[in-house]
Amino acid sequence: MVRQYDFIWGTTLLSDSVFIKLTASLSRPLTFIGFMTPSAEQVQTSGLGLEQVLTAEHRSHWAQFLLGSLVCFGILPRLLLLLWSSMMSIRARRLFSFDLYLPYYIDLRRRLVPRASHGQVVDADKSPPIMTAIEEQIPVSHALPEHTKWVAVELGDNFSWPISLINGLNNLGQVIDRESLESTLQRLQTNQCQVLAVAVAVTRLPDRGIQRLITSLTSHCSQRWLVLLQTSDEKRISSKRLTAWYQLAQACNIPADHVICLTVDKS
Amino acid sequence: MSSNEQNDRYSNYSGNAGTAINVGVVGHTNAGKTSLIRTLLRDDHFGNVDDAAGTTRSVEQSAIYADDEVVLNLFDTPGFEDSSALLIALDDLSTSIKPNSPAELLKVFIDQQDRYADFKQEIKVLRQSLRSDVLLYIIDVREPLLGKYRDEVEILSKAGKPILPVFNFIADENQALNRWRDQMALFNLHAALEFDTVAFDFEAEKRLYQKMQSLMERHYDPLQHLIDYRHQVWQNLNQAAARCIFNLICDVACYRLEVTGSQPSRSKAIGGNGFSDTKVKMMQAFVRNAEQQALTDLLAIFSFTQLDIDLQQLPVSEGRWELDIFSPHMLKEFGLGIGASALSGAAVGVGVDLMAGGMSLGAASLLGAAIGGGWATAQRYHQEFKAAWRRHQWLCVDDDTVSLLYLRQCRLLSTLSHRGHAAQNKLKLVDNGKVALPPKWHGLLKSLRQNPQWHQANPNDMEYHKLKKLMLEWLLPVN
Repeated sequence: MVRQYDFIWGTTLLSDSVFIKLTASLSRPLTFIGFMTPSAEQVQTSGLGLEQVLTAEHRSHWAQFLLGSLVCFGILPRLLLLLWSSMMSIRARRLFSFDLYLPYYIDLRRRLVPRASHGQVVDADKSPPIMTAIEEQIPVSHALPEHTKWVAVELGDNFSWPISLINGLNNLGQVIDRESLESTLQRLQTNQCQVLAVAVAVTRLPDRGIQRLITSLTSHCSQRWLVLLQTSDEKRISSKRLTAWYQLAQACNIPADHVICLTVDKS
Repeated sequence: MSSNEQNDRYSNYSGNAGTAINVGVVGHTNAGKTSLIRTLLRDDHFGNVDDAAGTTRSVEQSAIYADDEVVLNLFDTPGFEDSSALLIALDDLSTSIKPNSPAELLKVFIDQQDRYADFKQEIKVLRQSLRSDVLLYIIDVREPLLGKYRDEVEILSKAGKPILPVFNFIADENQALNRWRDQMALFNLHAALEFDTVAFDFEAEKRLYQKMQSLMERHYDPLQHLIDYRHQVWQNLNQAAARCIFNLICDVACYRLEVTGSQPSRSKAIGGNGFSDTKVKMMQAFVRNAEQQALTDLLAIFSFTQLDIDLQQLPVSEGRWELDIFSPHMLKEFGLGIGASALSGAAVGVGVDLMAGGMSLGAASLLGAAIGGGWATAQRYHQEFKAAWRRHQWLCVDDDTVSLLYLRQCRLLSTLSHRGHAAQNKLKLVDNGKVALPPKWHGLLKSLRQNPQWHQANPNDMEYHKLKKLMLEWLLPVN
């Protein structure tokens, strides 16, 4: 199972001397790496047509020359290129980053981030929504009975109470906290008043607290009025707010035609 | 802070999974609780907002993230409506059961909620207060100081949680604000915050988290992480918007259309008469499209929806500017003089300036420059050279139009970066502040116009990046 190869060369286009020189220059890097390559004489002696048997050393040099060429000119450059390109690609990958602040990505993120994380009811309101249908009404000016007593509820800084229209004797005060509510209720009782007008600032928000205040103030009166105060420089109130006041009046047993609007000059 | 320092700061901080801070947002009805959460979330889909009492009826949770981690759980609660009666009920209960602590009183009260059907809404607030780590007490400073507000604070303080008063609707309300500050000080609540949900300011949001840091020392690190993260995101958004504006200006200023020289286009008066109509229309269509794209992108960057557009009173309808950029009203609105070119926005291309002096070069010197400058120059000025050779000219977008584009985007950017999410019918702010052109504006335009190769490109050019940096500095002054 042993085979022996001889290396015999011949050249058509190149002259022999060029071939020898070429072999020598190809050998140079190979010897540098450590391969034993054929010397100039050995190359010459293995030329075509020179009938002689090559020595073992001679053959081994040729074999090493071929192997070395494969390694040095075939595998090694490819390896180096592979190494270089993979280094470059790692570097490029490291340098590459998405600009997540391009409008496209901002929009994409908003679509992908679930809305569910934005708002999740943890303590639900179980009572059915209160639906009181109130048709839109516009308060009209009414002359109040002469002996009407007046109470103001949480007017705020826009009005100085009592407003100039009211006779001081008919003023029972303004409710702004628990103490003033207490004293006003007492005054109401001592006055035995039958006709009571409750003044509120129309811009303020009618809520459950105000509703309770008005209910407790008017509970003993036979005739109840709700007076919505507005300063002359305020812009027109939204119909929604007005409707809310009418709803409150209804809840306090004040008939809709007892809700009147009053414009006063700003104090 | 360098990134190294930042890393050091967080070396001990390994996330806070499961330890998110529970923030109860409480206050009187209609004080702007839901609006505040919307502004913090930058999401106007959260909850319901209306100018009426009791809009929010359930306790609703939402989360604020830093990276992928929940730092804050925000709980939107129904508003207090009848705190005075609630306080009386609590006092009555207190005398009958003699609780060990105010918090215990609240617990018993909540347990007996069937007895107090009137306070369904308030009981939800109390329950959430006991579950929270900190309470943000929202105050509409336009409201008078009434007893019911004092009662609210008194009730809330029974929960034994840190309370941070947040003053809302503070624009032009300095006097009211001070009154409220004094009022809160009476309850030993000195660390209060101004946070307007109408005219939002990122600095106010930062201060909110900082105040929370000082109230809750053990949550310091996650809150700092949140502040840095939100700051970064905010800066990136503004950067993205500024880049978008720069690209628009660059594309428009670099835009040019070759027109044949047979027309009397050398005349300085260009009222749409110097160029063929089709060419001018092409140019105008390009400008309109470019601005439209910028508007769409800017709205997307700041997640602006139609609702926000209405709230901020942007002159935009269905995603388009209401006023055309070539409309004569535009010049007036932005305080620019009405130039001859106002009607078409077209200008004659001014050849090529190779020198800083701004000399226009003829074909011959161009050729010389091309030869002298080598292949790169020849390539760069290839188009000019060809046009000069054929006696053609360039149609460019004139300075006034580009200036208008810039001013309009500046105003838009300022509106977008100051948006809040407050309810409709509240105080609306229109940003009519004068935006001025920066001092080196026309120099920049000239530079851009001389580099048509930058049109719709992202060149790797020193000068391009220099100009970009310059404009970003104009748009985003370091504060």
